[in-house]
Parts: sequence; structure tokens; C-alpha cells
Amino acid sequence: MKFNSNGRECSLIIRNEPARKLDHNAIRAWKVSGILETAVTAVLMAVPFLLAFRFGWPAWVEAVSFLLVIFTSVVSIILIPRLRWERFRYEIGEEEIDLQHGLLIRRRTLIPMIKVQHVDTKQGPILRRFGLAAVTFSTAAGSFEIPALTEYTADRVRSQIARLARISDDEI
Amino acid sequence: MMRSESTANFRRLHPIAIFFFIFKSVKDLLYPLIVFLLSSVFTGKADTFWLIPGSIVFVLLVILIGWSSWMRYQYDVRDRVLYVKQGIFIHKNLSIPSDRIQSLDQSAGLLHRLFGVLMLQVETAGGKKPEAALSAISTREADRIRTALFASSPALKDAHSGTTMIHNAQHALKEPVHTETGAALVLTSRRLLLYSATSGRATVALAVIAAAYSQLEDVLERFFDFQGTIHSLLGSGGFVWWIAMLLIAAYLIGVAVTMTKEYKFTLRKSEGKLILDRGLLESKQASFAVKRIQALQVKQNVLLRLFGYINVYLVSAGSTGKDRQSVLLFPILRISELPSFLEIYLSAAYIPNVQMEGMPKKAISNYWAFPVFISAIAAIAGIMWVPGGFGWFALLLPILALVWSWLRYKAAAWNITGDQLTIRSGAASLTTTLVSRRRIQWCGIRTSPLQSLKQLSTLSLALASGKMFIRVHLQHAPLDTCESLVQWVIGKTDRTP
Repeated sequence: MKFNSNGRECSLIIRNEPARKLDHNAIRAWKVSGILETAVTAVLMAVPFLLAFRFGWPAWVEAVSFLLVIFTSVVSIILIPRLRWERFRYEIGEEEIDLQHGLLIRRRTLIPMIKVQHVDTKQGPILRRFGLAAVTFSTAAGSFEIPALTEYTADRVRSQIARLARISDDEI
Repeated sequence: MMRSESTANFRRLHPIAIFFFIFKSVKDLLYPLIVFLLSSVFTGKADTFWLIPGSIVFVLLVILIGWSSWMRYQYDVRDRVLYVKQGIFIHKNLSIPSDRIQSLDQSAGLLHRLFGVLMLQVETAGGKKPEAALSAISTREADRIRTALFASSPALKDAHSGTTMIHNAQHALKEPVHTETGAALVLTSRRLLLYSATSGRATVALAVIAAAYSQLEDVLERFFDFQGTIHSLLGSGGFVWWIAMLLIAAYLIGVAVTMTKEYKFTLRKSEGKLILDRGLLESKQASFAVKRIQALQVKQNVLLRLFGYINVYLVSAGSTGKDRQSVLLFPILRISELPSFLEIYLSAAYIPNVQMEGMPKKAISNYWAFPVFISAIAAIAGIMWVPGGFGWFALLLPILALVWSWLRYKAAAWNITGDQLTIRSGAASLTTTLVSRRRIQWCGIRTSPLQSLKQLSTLSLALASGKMFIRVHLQHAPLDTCESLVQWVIGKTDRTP
């Protein structure tokens, strides 16, 4: 008998929540993108900040722009990367792909393998630096992503999905 | 390809197409023209001296472009492949094999009907917008093309009888003609009225008129004492009457427009395709491959619910469907007529009127929590800031939110019968989606902190619609149910929840 996180008894396979995690380096990669995001916000906020300083606008303008930068940096560099890594789980089953993610609102998405139309790996410059890649796959109703696996794992997962997904031409 | 081109017998479109190409080049050039005009006005270089010759040049230019486009547009059908050559500067050569063609849609606007021609649009499985559009060809030519492409498949060839409908529609005003090719369902005038009177278009007209009115009033005030005139014409309560008349007029316009658009709505089934014809001024035909149908949606607004009628919609993948909505399959049916309708037109692929299972009582608070919270804030804001004591009317908001939430709770329901999942949602109006297990693209379970306290979740299903998709939700359902439903979709269990 298996138990899920609510501690309830269940025998249906779906009750097993997906277990595989993303690569741990994802946290570092996301911290880097968080730094970039903060840099952009800082540049954007510099405008009202400097204008307020130059033209003697009320103090709260400067305060707000400063706080926004601080807020963005804390959230995107410190909080989000670790949380995102903690929360993202995936599982490639014979019949389905099971994804679980979401910080405040828990989301679980199941995609029947037979609906997968094509699967790819994607790698931006930040992920590349950490030797990571994302696996993307799509159905007739939208695409999905497993955001950060090692290049080797990403390739393996991609092949696995490509093998398991049977693509039929005439039926959507 | 070059070799066979020399033996090819390329044809041009009907000369009337020149008008359509001219119209198109006007549309294409209009924006740059406006930009040019505006910039020259602002830089002060404008000179009314240039206005006349400038317009003449513009007119000559569009005529030239229109005529050249018509000259360059050529098509031919050989070996069951449609070849199209087009383009003045950028030459485009298309070749579309008949087995890639999902549908050949023909339509005829007023101008087309005047000259006895129609527009043929070729849509392929790729889901892009019409791959080729022959803007004006004779009906005989359209038949020839169909036969040449689909000589041995009666399915698409049969749709040519749509041509007869369009021909006959020209006499529609004199006497209604029923061309029966297989079982055809025609919308009666009474039901057309019912549909038009209850459809959303009337309310849209209302919104448009309301928006336009505020602008209009200012203008009118400038010319004469508008308010005074109304006052004297209709008495001191006159303004209220004026507004009421305006609203009624807007509603009636909406009804009239809908009636013209859906006039003689006819549904036919022709071997693997469902074909719709409708329209008074512009007759439109659309066809849907039965294989591409993803789901059925039965909708009812408040009025229809009262009288026991329904609207029937189709969720269809590929370019024949609409991207984020379902397509109207038939405007009005009685609930009791649905089973036989489904049997005839959809080969009983869907089971209607099943016993639905609702949401548990504990979900009620999840339904009203957020809406009441928001409306309470709005109510407080209203009481505080709206002058004259009218702010207290804002207390209605949370009450309305409560009622609406309760209606949503009552509407939410599901059912599994065999391979079909039925989900119902809505509040005052209801939408019931019937979908077969294998058409569900993916499903999701979403749990908010408030929901996890009560072991509730929201189930979402994604269905392919047009080139995008639509989602159907079952909100605040027991987590058990959501998980079992998802399990059922994936197909790992042999027992139904």
C-alpha cells in the first residue's frame, strides 16, 4: 500500500506523486538569472530615482524605487531558485508524463504519452554555462518544459519520451 | 515540376477578382498612406496643390497593383494536386496535394452573388490559415476543381451541393428552397428568432450603442438644445424614456443582425463531414471533418434554460475550428431533441443528458470566498467614497457575489459514462462539455492553500481547438475525484470512479 503526502491510503498509481527532481545546479543557474533580473530592475528604477533626486520629487519616489530593487533581488536571487527546485518534480511513465510544480498553488499536470507530438531539448546561455538543458515537449494543446536537467539527463529523457510517444498522423 | 508546367493549363480567376485584388491593395496601402499623409501634414510640407494629383496617383497605383495581381494569379489542377502561382514581386508557387486538403470552403458575398461567382478557400491539415484562396471563380469552375481533386472520394465531392444552396439562396427572399442531400436540418424561422433574441450579439450592440451614445450626446448638444428638445417632446421623465428607447433599439439591431447572419441555418452530414450553410446577405458555408471533432458543448443561457432549449457547439481541431472557443453547430434545439440529433449527425458518438454528480457541500465556502472578499472591498470603497448616500447600494455587490457563487457551486458537476467525460460549469448560464477520453490532450490538478485545507482541487482539461486550445474546469472538487478522473484519462484503471 502506498501513502501520499496527505497520509491517506491509496492503491491507484496516480496517488504516487512524481519523484524525480531537477539537477541541483538549477538553483545556481536561476540565481544567475535572478541577478540579471535584478540588474534590469535596477536600471529601470534608476530613472525615477535619479529624476526624483534631480528635480526634488517627494522622497517616497526614491524610497519606492529603491525598495522595489531590494524586493526583486531578495525574491529572485534568494527565495525563488531554491523553492522552485524544491517544488519541481517530474516522472516519465510508460503511458504519461507527470509534472508537479508551483510555489503557492500546487499544480500537477499529466500528459498522456500518446498526445505528445514532438520533444526537444533547449539550452539558453545561462543553462549552458552550468551544463544544463531543458526538455520541451508539446501537444496539440500547448507545450511543456522540464526546466533544468544535466545535458546528459536531458538527452536521455528526450530519447525516452520520443521512444514512448507514438505519433499518429490522422488523429489529434 | 518545370517540365510539367509547360504542358500545364493554368487558368486565371474570374475578372471580377480584379475588384477584390484592388480592394486588397487599398487595404494594404492604406496604412502607409495614412502615415505618409500625417507626416506631411505635420512637417508642414502639405500643399493642397498635391492633393488631386496625389489621389489620382494613388488610385492608378491600386488599380495597377490589383490588375497585375489578377494577371499573376493562376491555378491548375493536375494529378489531384492543386497548383497556384501568384505574386507580382515575390513569386509564390504552391502545390497542394488533395490528400493534404482538410476542407474546401466556399462562400459568396453580395458582390459574388451578383456575378454568379464564389470564393473557394483551401485549408490544409497543417492548421495554418487558408493555404490558398481563389477569390472569384464560377460555380462550374469550382465544381471542376472539386471533381479534379477528389474524383474518387465522394466525401468532399458531395459538398459541391453547397453550390446549389448558394444559387438557391439568391431566390431566398422569394421562397425558401430546401435542397436535401442526405438528412439536412434547417433552422425554422421561429427558432431563428428565439436564437437571435437570446444570443449575446444583442448585448454587444447594447454596449456599442452605449459607448457611442456618450460621444454622440456631446456632438448633438453643440448643434441644438438636445436635452431641452427631449424634455419638451417626452416630458420631464423624458430622459429616462429616451435612454430606454435607445437600449431597446440597440437590442433590436442586435437581433436583426443575428437573424441576417444565421438565416436558414442548415446542417448536413456528408460522409465524414458536417456542413453548415447560413446567411441572408452573405451566405457562408463551413465544413468540419468528423474526425477532427474534439468535443461537444451544450450551452444554455438563463432564458433558454427557462424554456428548455439549448445551443449546440463543437470543439474542432485544425484550421476549421476557432482558436479559443467552440464553433456553433446548431443554434437552437429542444433538450429532448438532443439524443436523436446526436444519433443522426454525430453517429451517437456522444451520450447526452447523463446523471451529473455535483460538488460536495464543504466546497461552498471555496466558491464564495474570493468573490465575496473582493466585492466586500468594493462595497466598503463605495460606501466611503460614493456621495449622496448612494454608496450604500454597494452593499448589493457582496450579496450578488454570494448568489453568483452559489449558482456556480450548483452548476459544477461531472459524469463518466463509458469512454465519455461530461463536465458542467457556469452560473446563470450553463456550459456542458462532452468529451471522449482519447480527445483530452492533457489534464491538470491545481490546489491552492485554501483548497488543500479541505482536500479540494480544481481539475482542468485541455482540448485542441483551432490552432490553440480551450480548457474546461471542474472547480473545488474533492482531491479524490480529481485524481481518479486523471487516472481514468490516462487509462490505468479499469474501474470508473
